[in-house]
Amino acid sequence: MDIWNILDIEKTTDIKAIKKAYAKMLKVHNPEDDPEGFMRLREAYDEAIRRAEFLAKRKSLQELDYDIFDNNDTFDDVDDFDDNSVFFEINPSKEKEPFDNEYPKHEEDLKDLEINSRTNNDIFPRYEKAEALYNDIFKRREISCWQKLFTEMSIDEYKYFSENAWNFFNTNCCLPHSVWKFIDSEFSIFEDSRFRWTKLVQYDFGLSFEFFDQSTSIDYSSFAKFRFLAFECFMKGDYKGSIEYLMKAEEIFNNDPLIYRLKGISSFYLRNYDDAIEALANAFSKDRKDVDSLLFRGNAYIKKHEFEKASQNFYKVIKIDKDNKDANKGMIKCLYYLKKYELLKQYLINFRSRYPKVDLETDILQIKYEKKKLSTKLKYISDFIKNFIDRIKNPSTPLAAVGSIIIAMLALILFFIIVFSPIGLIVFIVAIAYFSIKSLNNERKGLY
Amino acid sequence: MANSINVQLWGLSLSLTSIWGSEKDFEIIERFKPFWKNVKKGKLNLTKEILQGIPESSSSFFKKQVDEKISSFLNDTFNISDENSCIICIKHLFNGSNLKKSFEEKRRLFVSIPQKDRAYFINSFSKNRMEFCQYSIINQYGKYLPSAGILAYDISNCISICRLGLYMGYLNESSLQKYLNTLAKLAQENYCDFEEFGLASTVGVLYSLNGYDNDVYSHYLNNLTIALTNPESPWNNIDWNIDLSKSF
Repeated sequence: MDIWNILDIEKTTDIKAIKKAYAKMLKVHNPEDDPEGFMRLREAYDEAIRRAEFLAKRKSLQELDYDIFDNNDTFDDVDDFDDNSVFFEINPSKEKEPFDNEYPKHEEDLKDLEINSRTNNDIFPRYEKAEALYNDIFKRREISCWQKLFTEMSIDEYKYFSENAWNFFNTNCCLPHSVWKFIDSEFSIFEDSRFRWTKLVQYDFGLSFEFFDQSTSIDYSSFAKFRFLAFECFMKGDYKGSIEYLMKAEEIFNNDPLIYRLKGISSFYLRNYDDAIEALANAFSKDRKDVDSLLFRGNAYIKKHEFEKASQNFYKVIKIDKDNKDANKGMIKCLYYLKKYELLKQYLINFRSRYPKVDLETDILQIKYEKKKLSTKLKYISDFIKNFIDRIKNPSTPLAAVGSIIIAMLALILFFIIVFSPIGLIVFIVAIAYFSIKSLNNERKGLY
Repeated sequence: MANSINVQLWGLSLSLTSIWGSEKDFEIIERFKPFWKNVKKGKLNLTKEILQGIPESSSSFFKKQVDEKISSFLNDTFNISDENSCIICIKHLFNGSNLKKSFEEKRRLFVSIPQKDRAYFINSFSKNRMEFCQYSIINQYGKYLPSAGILAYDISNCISICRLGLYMGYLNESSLQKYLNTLAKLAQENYCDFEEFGLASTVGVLYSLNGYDNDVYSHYLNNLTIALTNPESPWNNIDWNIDLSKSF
């Protein structure tokens, strides 16, 4: 069912109208009376808000009325969030539906970024040189090129660019981390509240430009854009969208381990463990130091209950980094389910000594292992006793003779206790009396 | 009939790893011993006691004590003091709490940072800051949880609130059943077994605590351990993949 039908409203980008429609429909689909209807309504509301925001931002970029802190779209209290806790949106909605016709498809997304840059150029002719530099993917990645650009600007140009750097880099955002750091050092762009990509300045996410080779005819520019869009989707929790963009990027250039790592992790979170395993294997083959891929792969095998294969991945990590906690934890899980208890015991001891801080998963596995150990021992003892009794019962075995002798000796000891101990004698007389009376009663009742 | 009761017990059991815990549920199971044999034979009905998760008491003194304890727990932990606030809280958890959203955002950011830089990232926060604790929890437990993250924490607490709300008279039985129906399906869709659900729920509790000491940790570890290992636990007597369409 269409989201606009669910909200009972015409298609709109008016956020207030969407909220009003939602409040009205909430009376019809109360979570108490109609929980399924309520959940459909909530999903429709989230999607409508997301679309309205997206279209509003596109429009506002063109009208230079850009405010990324439009914070009036929330139903819930968002006190927990500070600006830096959200990468792209204030309220990222949950996993998204595929884009419909109203939304730009992949190629249109690319054009979108290009249109914005052209728009910027029309309004800010002083961006021309910066645009030209940005459009050359091999120059874009070089700090020296940016340095030269800024050095060659006149004082007015530099001043103007400095005041509007946030705007330029909001749309021209596919840059390596080293360049971001340089730009931040020039313009303190991180401090500007209008700048969207603060996290890209803060952290290096591995969106590398290093392996772009000028001698090939590969369209690295499109590759970088698709990879960026994939990363954006991932950060919003849109794992399906992320995979779609990653596949597009892969078609252009398939030697970047990051695209496989992201694909693997996205598939993992979507519980497509087979796809995750394949993608992560590709990631590791291209970057042999990428233990993260091995760890996710190992955990994907654990989800599939293929513990032998999982343990192989964790073992590879331990060979690279023997103190890796996740790998040791993973090994412990595998050894428990593979019932390799001797090795498990060693790993548990090592784990405790290396990581004294408590850990839920290993603590539970240890408790389960201790219980299993105890029940195994008890089972062993009871099996032994049962076996012993069976052998005694079997008259052909020597054990039967030994058993008979032991029983005879016990009977003799009991006899002496009865005869020579006053209490034993009393108990014996009471027992005889009891069975005699019972026998007489049964005779009277005619039971015999 | 037995299957229908199993389905409802399945749903109710999701509250074992809530903040309220499972102590009272196991008291009830002990009281109706042999609980699971009786369920299998169809000898056990789903009484209000089982639905609420609070053992009945003939002593008015003890009942009053229990009432006060539950009332102050609901008020202090969830700001629930009457029917209205109970429903608001349930709706809030139904939407997915801010804690869940915060966890997912932080997890996505954390997982995107290269593995070699993560320790540095965590240590860049001061140890008494909330972010330090939260990212430490994500690093220790959160990376390999499914995409639902700590949704189990919301589900678990929501069911717990519904049960306690029934006891306090804030909800009626049919409301509880409706909420239970939706929440149970949500749990089954998003997690693959009781262990994964229980871990996610407990991680949610730890994440919400903003730093914890050993006593607190031991308490929640104990909850989870009992739920997973006690032979009388519903999690060892009902299949995770039970058909939930069979009557709520």
